[in-house]
Amino acid sequence: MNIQQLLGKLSEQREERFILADVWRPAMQRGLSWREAALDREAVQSAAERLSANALLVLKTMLRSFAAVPAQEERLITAVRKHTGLSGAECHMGLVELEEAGILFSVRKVWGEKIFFIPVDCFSIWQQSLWPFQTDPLSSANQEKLINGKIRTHCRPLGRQLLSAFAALAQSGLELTKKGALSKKTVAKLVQVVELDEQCLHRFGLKWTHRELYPLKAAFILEAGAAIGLLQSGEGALKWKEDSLTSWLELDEGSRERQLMDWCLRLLLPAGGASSHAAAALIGLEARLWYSERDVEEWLKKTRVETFMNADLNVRWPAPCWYELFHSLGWMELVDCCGSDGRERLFRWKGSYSAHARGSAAVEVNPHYITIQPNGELIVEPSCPFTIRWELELLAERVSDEQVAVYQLKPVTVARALENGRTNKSIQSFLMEASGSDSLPSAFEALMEVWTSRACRYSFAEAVLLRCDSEQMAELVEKDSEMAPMLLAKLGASDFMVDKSQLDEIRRLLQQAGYPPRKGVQSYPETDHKCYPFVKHLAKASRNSALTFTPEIKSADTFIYETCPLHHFELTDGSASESMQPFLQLEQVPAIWTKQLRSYHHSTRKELIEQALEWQTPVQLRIEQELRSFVPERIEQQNGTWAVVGLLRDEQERQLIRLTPDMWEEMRLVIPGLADPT
Amino acid sequence: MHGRDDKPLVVQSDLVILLDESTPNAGQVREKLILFTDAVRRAGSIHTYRMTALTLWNAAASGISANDIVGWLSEYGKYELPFQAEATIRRLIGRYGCLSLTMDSGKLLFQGEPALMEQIYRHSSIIEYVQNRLKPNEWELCNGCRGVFKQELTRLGYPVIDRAGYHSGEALAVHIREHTLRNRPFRLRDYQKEAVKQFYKEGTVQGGSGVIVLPCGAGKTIVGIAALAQLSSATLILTSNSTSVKQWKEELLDKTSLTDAEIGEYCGTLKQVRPVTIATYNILTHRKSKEAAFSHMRLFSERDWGLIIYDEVHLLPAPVFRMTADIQATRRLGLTATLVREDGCAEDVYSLIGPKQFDMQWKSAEAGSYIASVSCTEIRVPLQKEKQELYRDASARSKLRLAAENPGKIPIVQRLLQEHAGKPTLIIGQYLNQLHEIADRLKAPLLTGEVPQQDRQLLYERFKTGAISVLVVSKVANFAVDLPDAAVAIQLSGSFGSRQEEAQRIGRLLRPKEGNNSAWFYTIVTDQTKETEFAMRRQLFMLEQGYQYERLSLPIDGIAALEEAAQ
Repeated sequence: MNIQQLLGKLSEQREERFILADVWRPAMQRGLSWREAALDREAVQSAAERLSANALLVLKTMLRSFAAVPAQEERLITAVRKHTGLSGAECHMGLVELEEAGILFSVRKVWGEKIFFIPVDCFSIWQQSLWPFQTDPLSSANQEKLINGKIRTHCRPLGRQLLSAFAALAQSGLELTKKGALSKKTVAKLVQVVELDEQCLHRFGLKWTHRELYPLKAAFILEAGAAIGLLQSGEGALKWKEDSLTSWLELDEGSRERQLMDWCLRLLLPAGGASSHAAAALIGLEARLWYSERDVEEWLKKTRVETFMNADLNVRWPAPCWYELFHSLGWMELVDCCGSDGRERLFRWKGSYSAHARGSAAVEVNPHYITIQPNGELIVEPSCPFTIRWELELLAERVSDEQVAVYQLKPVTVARALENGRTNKSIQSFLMEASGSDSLPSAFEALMEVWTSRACRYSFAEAVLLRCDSEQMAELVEKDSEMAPMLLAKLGASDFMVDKSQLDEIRRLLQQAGYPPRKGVQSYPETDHKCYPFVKHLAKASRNSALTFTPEIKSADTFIYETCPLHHFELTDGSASESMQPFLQLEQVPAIWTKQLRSYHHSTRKELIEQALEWQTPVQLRIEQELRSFVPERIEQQNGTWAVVGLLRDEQERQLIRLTPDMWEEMRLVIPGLADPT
Repeated sequence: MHGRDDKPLVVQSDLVILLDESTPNAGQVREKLILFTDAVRRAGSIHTYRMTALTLWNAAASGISANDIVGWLSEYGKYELPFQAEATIRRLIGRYGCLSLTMDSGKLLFQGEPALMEQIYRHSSIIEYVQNRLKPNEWELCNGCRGVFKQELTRLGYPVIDRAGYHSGEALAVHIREHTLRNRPFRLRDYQKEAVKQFYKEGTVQGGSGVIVLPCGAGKTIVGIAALAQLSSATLILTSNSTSVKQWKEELLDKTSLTDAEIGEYCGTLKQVRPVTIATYNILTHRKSKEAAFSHMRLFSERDWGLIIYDEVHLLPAPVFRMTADIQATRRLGLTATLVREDGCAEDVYSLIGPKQFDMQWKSAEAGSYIASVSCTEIRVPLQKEKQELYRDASARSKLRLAAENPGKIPIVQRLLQEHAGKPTLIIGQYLNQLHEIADRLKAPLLTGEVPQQDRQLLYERFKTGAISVLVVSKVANFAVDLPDAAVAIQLSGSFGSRQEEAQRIGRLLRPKEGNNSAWFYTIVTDQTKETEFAMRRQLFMLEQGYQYERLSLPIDGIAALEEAAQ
């Protein structure tokens, strides 16, 4: 769950309360709301500095032990106690502090089990605040390695890959088979136009719908479409949400890629287990500078950030490789080097897609987006908006797509466009507008004239109308000795009623005459899932609003299951009352037990220890004249005597020790959060 | 991504370069580009070039460094030079000069930097050629593997400098005449000299094999002859058909000191092997059955050839490629107007004949008046009404034929002949019936494959001398060297969408013309039929060379008017 999803579940009052927490004071002074502060590196950094020691230990241990994976309360407490020596009550206190500040959240399953989580988009920010990864970019002396290394092939940014996928989907149609999935042919096309390496995804151990019908890559594409609100389920077909599609296409490239990166991280960080620490470290690195994977590994070792990881979160092998994933999603360049000192992977973030570059997007206004060549080749400028590229995907075949994209118009692609309701005139006027020109090369016009002269000159309508695109075409039909008898009536200048049963025969005759009619039969209203959506390109009026387009929180359509789905569960209110229940009974014990160090009788000492165990609090012991903090774990009875097993927190070795009551001189109960009596 | 709009180049990471010809310094940049790229397409305002391992190694061979190229591309690039492109340029050029082949006491040695050789040894395809790894930086190779070894290394991305040398071949005293046999003054044009110089490279092991690309009419045959004279050794010339064989012989006799007895023809019934032998690809690849050996391939070893010339190298058939791999010690010269191969084997030409040594673009040649300035026009004529029904019911193949043989084309031809009266005109077509009909109507001689060689020569001669001004020819005219020089070509029909054929036919017009140096190419197609689509495809190569086609459409009643006018 990310901040945006949480906002849908949080009450206004609760959100307002978060920013009042002491940790956010500097953020509040900067005028930030909680939702802004939670994703602001500077605000998070200062919050980390202001957290209480207990809360800090709890948070650090949680991230070390579970990374971005939500944690069951019991396992979380166990992990924190194991690695920090905090007592149970101190853990709870820490958790309360974190929940009250809107840093951690919890949901409750129906049977009462509580699950804690950090909003997934906050994970990397907190990780970087708690264990800053600062490394030097590759030195110029080492640049030689880049030249001699094996450079991974260029991958298009995910947005462009998805554009091709959605265009292919729109061309193939969104009908679902009886099994409720897209047809095999459509899925094959979808997978073909996206270069993302499916292996990168497989390593995350994802689970998805229609596993037997959809390869993971197809599910990933569809999930992206659903998650950003472009696709939704309809009756027997998926449906485009055309307004959302238009808004998405109108986004500037930087915003779109950052939005997609947020979505990917939301999906994959919780699935990445321990490896997500590496991802979080990478995300913070500066774009366009080369770094070595060795430095990341070194940092992971040095900070021991993954060392508390629960074994069951770490067992996936081979582990997800974020470098390969980010490369495959078109956000990172990768070079594999093989030198005398072994293999090494070098990487850098491209352009403005890394988290580091957030907010740096600029919209370029350039009416000359494409250049039209006489042979039908279209050269597309990098600044060309997706609204135009969307149409190009239909009109032409993409030859290459990087700094500039090259498309090639062909008879078959033009026929496809005609099939989707475009005309020679509309294509030409679109191209003129996109090229910022008021004329097209004459050779190109001639090509278009030929390519549009035959296909789709005729079309069938559901009412069994034979529709001719001009009087000239109608005349040709009327004069045809074989077709004429099948024309029941002429409607207007260019339409004929025909007998439905003769539809195939007329189609054959038209084909034979060299005028293949439009495929299928038109019906009214048009079934929208069949038609390649028209997108208003260059709609400047709506572009401003497009820049703020945010997808729906989560559509009901799921193609890839979340690794740890949380949104079905009830978000707890995170108040202290529940966690602090035991301390409400403080008045039931003598006040002196908590206020003063005393030497009690062994039986009273046992009572105090039992109370500490019940409340999960530490006790203070004077052992050999030194004050020690001790967290009891359990009492052991042996031959009529007793002993307490627990942890002396100031010992270097974090090992349980066994104390018999005669081993300390004085003691008192320590209540976390209560002022020290001294 | 923000670009620098005044800069003309876009460099893609796959080494494709786009040059925006509309920017002010495009010309200056083009001059640089041709030093290390191949021109791929020159249509419209954005021209496409490509760097390949070969173009970069050629650049390195001429002293250009990776820093130079990276510097130019960065300076003139509209966007940042992609890292992948920069790294590839540096890596490929960095490899140049690191590996070489030499010959020592009859042993073929492969030498280079130990680290690079170690890398190469990891490729299993290389190991079979290595006889002995003498030192980390020197291996002895198997005898006879020189061609395939180079081919394989090139494929793997390692340039090897072949210093193993060439054998001189049988010496042959030959020189270029200052006055031709017909007593016309003769000298090589500057670019022809330059092409020969690039090929010969002062007789060093750096030269001696490669391809020269010149537009039709710019004198490829002359370049071949000059290379032959430069090397003065026995030469095997391979060409595409028997008409070409005759014409090569004629040119050799006309422009060199060679005598008839020194020139052999090896085609048809003639099997003469002489110091200069001209053979067709056809005869070399002839065999009795699919399983039988190519018996005429022995021609490669029948004499001690010092040079093999591959004319129209873009037509070289696969068995000849294979044979060529075995004769790497013989100098090889490829001649062509276009490296476009309809079969997509352009790479084989590079690896087995050699890299491109010289390339003059059509439009540059035109600008220098080395070839005529050709106006290309497509004229669309409607299908006669009575034929329309026939066309509609016909099969796809018949449709094309009906369109091609549209009788409506004939009045257009007559009109064009009136317009260009007196100018030597070729009327070129695919279908014999149509050609016979038009020849009859025009009372013009017809040249087809059915016409005996002797009669063909006679027709050529009469056309050349101006005794006849119109010659109707079938597709035999496509590949003949120096088929009669014409000022006007009218194409009635062609082979589907063959770009190569269109280029060849226009090539017939390119020989420089007296007066305003102009020539005209007309292609007549039937409107509203499949023929217009094929015509478009055929025109692509010329479009990509920078030629424009003007289009004229004749209204349906225009034919009758023309016919009337022609009466």
